[in-house]
Amino acid sequence: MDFEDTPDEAAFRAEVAGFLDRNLPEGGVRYHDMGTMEEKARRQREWQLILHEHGWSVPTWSAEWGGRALTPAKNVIWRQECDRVGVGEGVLNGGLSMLGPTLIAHGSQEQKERLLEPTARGEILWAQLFSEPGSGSDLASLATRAVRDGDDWIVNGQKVWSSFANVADMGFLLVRTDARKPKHQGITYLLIDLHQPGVEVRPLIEMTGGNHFNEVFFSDARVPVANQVGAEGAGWGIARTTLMYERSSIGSFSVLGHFERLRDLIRERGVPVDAVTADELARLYVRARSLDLLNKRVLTKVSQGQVPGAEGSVMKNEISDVMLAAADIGIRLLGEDALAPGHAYEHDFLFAPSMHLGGGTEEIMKNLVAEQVLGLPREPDAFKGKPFDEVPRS
Amino acid sequence: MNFAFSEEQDEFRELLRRFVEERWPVAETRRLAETDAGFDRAVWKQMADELGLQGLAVSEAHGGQGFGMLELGIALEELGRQLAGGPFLASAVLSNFALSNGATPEEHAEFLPGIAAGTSISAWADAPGLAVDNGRASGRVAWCIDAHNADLLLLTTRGGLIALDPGADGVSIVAAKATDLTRKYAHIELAGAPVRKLGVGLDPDAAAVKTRHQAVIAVAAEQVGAAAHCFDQAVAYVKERLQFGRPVGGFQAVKHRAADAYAVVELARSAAYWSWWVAANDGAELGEAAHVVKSIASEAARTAAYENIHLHGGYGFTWEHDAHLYYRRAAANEVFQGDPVAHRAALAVELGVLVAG
Ligand SMILES: Cc1cc2nc3c(=O)[nH]c(=O)nc-3n(C[C@H](O)[C@H](O)[C@H](O)COP(=O)(O)OP(=O)(O)OC[C@H]3O[C@@H](n4cnc5c(N)ncnc54)[C@H](O)[C@@H]3O)c2cc1C
Repeated sequence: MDFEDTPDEAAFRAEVAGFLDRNLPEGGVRYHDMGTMEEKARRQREWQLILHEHGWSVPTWSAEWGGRALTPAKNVIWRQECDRVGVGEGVLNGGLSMLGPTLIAHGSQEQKERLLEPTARGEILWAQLFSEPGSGSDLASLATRAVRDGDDWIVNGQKVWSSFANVADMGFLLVRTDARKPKHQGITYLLIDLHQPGVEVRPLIEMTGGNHFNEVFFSDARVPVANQVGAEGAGWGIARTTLMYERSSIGSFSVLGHFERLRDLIRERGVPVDAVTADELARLYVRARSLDLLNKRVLTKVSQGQVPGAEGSVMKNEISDVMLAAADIGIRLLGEDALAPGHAYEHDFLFAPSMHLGGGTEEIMKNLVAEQVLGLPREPDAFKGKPFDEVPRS
Repeated sequence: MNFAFSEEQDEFRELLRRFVEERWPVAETRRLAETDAGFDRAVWKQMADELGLQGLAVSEAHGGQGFGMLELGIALEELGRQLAGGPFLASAVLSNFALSNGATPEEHAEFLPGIAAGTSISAWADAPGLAVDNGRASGRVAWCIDAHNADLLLLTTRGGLIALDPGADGVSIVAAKATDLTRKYAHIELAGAPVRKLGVGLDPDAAAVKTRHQAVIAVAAEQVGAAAHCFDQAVAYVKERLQFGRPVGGFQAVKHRAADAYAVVELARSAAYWSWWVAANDGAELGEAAHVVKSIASEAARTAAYENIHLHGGYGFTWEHDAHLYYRRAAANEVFQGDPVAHRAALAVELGVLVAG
């Protein structure tokens, strides 16, 4: 056991820090500070090209596909250094942390050669097109259908809550290709070009007042069979890979930063906090610190060849709680200033409730932990084995 | 960064788990609770002779094994699972810390070999309020762990560490019944008792602070072991207990309680392992580690102990079931050397969000 950087890790940290300090554009690459969605997309892509030129665009991908196959420990260092200067994946998260790793695991050689490089460069901006108005937690009940027409799939239906779809070029899309099979068996995983007449993206305004997610409508949209990932009907297993990567990407968000921001706010305001608030702050710190350590413990296991499993679900829920608590304390530190639009914690406060929803809700994460880590019985499914089209839906 | 134990450490854990499950399972702790000493001298001797446990963290020069907090943490975690160990905490851990930090090398050579061999039992308490004057001490030290079992008493006073002979004139030690049935406690009354000042020339404050932090980290290790045991027991039970024709562990409300408990136990375990590493390396973060781990490990131990009762239903509320023993121990550990609120206040000061005092 050793929490210090090894000499090799220390050298790596210095290399990353040096690279970031030399290359970071003026104004940084903070998602929230980059203006409109179009601005965010433009600036994130500019930065991604710089990363790509220097071999840092997809450090966790395998070397074969332009990555550095970072060890978990080095990945932690990479993220710590990025956090330090406020750099994240922003609108490119879907391609870099969900679709890319999924394609590496399940894509055909031709798909990898055609799509991975432009994804790494940020040229293809990806949207995750999984959730539907009638299918959220029960994602496998999705109803958007696709039928074959020669070498194309013809897609009809609707997706919703699709982050960044309004600036995206392509989507990773789950469709139903066989409604007579039980729900998990009739799903196929497609990659759809969003720049086509059969696709309409309508932005949704979120409770923050901003927009990042959208509705996506398909009317006879086309997807060439070359863009089908895995076999027809095998989409559910592949989707689970994507969801696992999504959750571990959320689970690796920096947590201690939330405490540090509150501390900065206290210093800035120069008003001493009372004992009750101090206890809440310390509680937040204890939670965040322990969570950071749990993350490192899981990463050590991964580096020893163990499968990460559902620990990511623990992490996602805990991070969500830390963010909710931090926003809550932030509001109270501000007092009446928290009424003023645009105050320091307005965004965090309004955004926090989404943390326990996106990427799978709090309840679904707990089900996963209970079933997959603790081995408790699975949720009963009254329609198990029934064909999809005989199951009631909302 | 490497968050794994070495192969030797893992093997040590295995060996110890088997030893404790065989020779000192919680059923034995329960039986010993009825006795005055609270431990079985024969098993105590086996701990020393077969495993060298009492000398685990004593240097080889003094007859110990020369390991540090990582190995000691493993031992405490494993003993904590069965609420076992008796005076191990008082003697091999707390007194060992107090002497290592607050006594001179000559005094180490005098006291540590007996502790390491298990032939001498020592008890330690923090006694900042004790009046020590001219080699005599007066006052009361309440709830000293295993004081009535001790051959040597060590007290951390304002002026530094002092040693007392429990049999000396002016020393009265009264065993005290406690809510925690699984550990033995006693009150010490001193009326002009002759004391020996240790560690002359050392900085008493630095020694006291370090001893307290280490003590907290050690007890948190036990808390993690106890929490993990309660959690495992609860999960095993809900997989077997049938109601409404299915295992109760299949009901979502139960699953979510289990998932919540799992999270806090794993958070506490992560913080504990880190705190051992900090202590083993004499890290600058010792205070922070103690505050963090005291807070999260107390929460884990209390939560898991409570969930174990709750998820066993009425059976969990019986005297016969072991669940209450863990619930009691969790409360005792929680208030040992500062409760979680006090530790969070100290942490808030250390982190610069609260003004001291
Ligand atoms: C900010 C944000 C971004 C998102 N981005 C994307 C995206 O890019 N692409 C995409 O495809 N999706 C995205 N989503 C959708 C997200 O995955 C879903 O919102 C989520 O899976 C929940 O589905 P739902 O909204 O239909 O809620 P429902 O599933 O209808 O849930 C409603 C409530 O019921 C509870 N519930 C449901 N089932 C159970 C159960 N079995 N046990 C206990 N409780 C249950 C839920 O926890 C929730 O509280 C995003 C969501 C948010 C908030």
